[in-house]
Amino acid sequence: MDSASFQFVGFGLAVAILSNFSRKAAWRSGVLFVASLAFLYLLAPQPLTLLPLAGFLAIGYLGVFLLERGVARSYTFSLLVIIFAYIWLKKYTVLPAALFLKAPYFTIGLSYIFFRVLHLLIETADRPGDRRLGPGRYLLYTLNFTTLISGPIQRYEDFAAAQFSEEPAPLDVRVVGLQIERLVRGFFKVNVLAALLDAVHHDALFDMIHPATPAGRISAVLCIVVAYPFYLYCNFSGYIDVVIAIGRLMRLLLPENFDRPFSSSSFLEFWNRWHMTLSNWLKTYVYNPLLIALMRRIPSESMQPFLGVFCFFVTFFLIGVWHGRTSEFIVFGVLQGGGVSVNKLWQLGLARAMGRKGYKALAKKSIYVALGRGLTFSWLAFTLFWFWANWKQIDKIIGALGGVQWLCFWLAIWLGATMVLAAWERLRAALLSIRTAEGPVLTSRYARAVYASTLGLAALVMTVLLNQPAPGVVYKAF
Amino acid sequence: MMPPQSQPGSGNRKFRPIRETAIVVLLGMMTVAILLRAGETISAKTFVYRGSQRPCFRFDDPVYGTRGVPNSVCKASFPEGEMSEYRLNNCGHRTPLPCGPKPPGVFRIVMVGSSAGMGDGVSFEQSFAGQLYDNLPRDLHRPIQLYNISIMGVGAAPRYRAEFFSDDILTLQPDLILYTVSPYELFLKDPGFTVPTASEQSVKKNPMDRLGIASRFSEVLHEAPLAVAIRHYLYRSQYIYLKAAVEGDEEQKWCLRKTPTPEARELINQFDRNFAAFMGQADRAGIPVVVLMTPRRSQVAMVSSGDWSSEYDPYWLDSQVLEIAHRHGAGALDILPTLALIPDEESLYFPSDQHPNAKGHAVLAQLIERALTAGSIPQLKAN
Repeated sequence: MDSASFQFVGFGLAVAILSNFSRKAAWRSGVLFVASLAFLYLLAPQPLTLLPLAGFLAIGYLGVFLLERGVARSYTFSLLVIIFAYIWLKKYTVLPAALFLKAPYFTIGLSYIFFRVLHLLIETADRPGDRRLGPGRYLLYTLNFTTLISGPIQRYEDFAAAQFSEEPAPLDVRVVGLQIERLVRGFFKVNVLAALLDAVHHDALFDMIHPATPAGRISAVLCIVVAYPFYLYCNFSGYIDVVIAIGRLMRLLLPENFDRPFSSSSFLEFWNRWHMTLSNWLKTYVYNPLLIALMRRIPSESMQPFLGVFCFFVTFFLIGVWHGRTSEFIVFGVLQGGGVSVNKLWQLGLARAMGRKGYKALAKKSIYVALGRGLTFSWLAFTLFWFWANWKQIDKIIGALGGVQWLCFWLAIWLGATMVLAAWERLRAALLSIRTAEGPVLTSRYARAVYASTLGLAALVMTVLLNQPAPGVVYKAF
Repeated sequence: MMPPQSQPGSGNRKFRPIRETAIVVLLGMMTVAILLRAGETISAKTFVYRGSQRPCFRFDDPVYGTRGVPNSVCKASFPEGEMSEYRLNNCGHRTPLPCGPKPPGVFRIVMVGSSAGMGDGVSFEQSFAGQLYDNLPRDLHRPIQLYNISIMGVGAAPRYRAEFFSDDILTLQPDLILYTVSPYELFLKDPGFTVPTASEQSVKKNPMDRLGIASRFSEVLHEAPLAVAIRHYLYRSQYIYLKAAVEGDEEQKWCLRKTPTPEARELINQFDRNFAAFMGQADRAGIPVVVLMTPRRSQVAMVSSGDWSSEYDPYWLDSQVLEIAHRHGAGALDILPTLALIPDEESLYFPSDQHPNAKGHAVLAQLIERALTAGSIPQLKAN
């Protein structure tokens, strides 16, 4: 149930059907509440394991409750307690191991609940008295089963606007058709594409350690580097497709989390297209306040761009660190923060050297965009070593090739990614240029019916033939 | 993937929901039908059984389960293999040697085993039995004969081996019996086997089967050329294959478990009884027996990967069988640890069928010869 499995899809569709028995907000909220509790029960059949999560939610609600009643002094304290509780329950290694609970307990979805609770605390503190949440709405928002496991991270206002409206989002046959197509596409991404790429990655890791030939070692490293970014994308975005489709069928409008990230021509742009709700959350609640605070302290105009660079580093360092509890993720955070900071410095430097117009003209050139796209992919693939591997594996990967070999290898990756991604963009543009009066042929409902049937059949055959559980969603672990 | 901004049907033409839904559903169904038909047609060009083993074997023999037809010849191929000839001697054994007493001065090894031992899916010359038949006398410079009486199907079950001891083995006058055994024949249940099968339980755990779809769909698909083709390509991945093995039916995964199920324990007890009966006859005839465990790909893949969770132990079944062999006074050879050192273990088996292919038989022949001539059997000790 904690992945894009048949059970999860079946559960979601059943809830969506039930939810549409009435358009009234009370009915839909009741169905969502019961479904979310049932979902939790299915994930954690022993209720005792849910106690720490319940405690976390209770602390969060108490903080919101006090802030709603104007107890402003509780703000900092609530924030600190929630952050500490999160770090403690997630067993981050910054805390001594003796502090952690010994008994097993349920933490799936805790990260996403954490973001939602922090969002509520901050927004309530900013506008006390604006709203009274109440425990029902609080639980509905924090435990919403469609966003529990791996997001997307939705703002409360957006959730409430769709969920508690007596005029919810319309649901006609076209919308249903589009959501079914999206659901199938997501299911295919997770259960076929991600499963295959995961296998390529694992087999390559094995082949790298036990290569049959020296050339086999290089091709294994190539597979490791190239397969993982696409695997991660298919795994996560496929799951998000499934939950967004289920949400829409329940008349819930969940935010998009991906926007063709491999089309990004810079690392900064990449983070605007990948796990968008997380990066937006951090920009809203870390980048912006930090930048404003620094600008107040350092009012020098010439320093402002560099303050922005620093804030980018901090924000994306935190994004990296959030992904895991071990020292590998600190390096991952440094590489994410470093990537966006250097990217920003490059932009500033070029703009200064060429002038804004000159830089804009350069940034529009297709060769610049293509090279940027290739470099973005290469940097992402490189940083992901610290995302999926432990130090022992990283050591083996680094030792697989010599210094010059690595240099040539990354140059080849850059150029290869540049050419392949550029070819893909051209192909995509060419295919979408085939149009009728209603729009591109490939996005017509007829084309969608054909490819959704194809993807659905492939996913069904592969799932049944291989008789394997749906691959887990990577981001549920964070 | 298509961009979300595009809204199909947003043009001026009037949208008729019922008509459009019917067209879309029809298109979807047609797509599925065309794809299945095309996939099946293309796969059927390669991934089908060809020829037949029926003229060579009686698969419902009342006494022996499976029995070779004396002096028969037939040709057949696995969906993934090449056409192989099955030429059986005057006793229905797949060996070029005539059935009967050994010539004077010859050290004869009689090998009992299952389809892998018989060389199912490859020619006799490619099979490890065929290669040992050629290589042992050549490499040891001694008159050594390997006479293979391995048989495929249910006839490979250990209970039949004691049955055909006096009928087949004694007349061949062996100096040594090479008793090959694999998880497949150990899983064959004797009449009266009563422990509730865990395989039934595991199938019920399958989420699709809760909907009552998976097992029926899977059965229909299992032998379909398209299904064989898909498995053939996917199971080349060690990772996918191992995942399928540990999530598959009990016959696949029972040899991987660390903690045996009640059924697995009873299967081991069953083998213990059958092997005791076999050894009783071998002891009376004064023929030494060496047990050779021929592992499944799943065991090899798991050992080779070097990474398995605490609930698995690919060595468990081997250790059980070898312990039983020792207890009953037989020698024991285990090639699993060495076999798992081969870097591309996936290339040693027909991916979907899971029998060893020609390359696998060649590797097995080398490893078995090395184990046989390492010194534990004085007559076969390499100089």
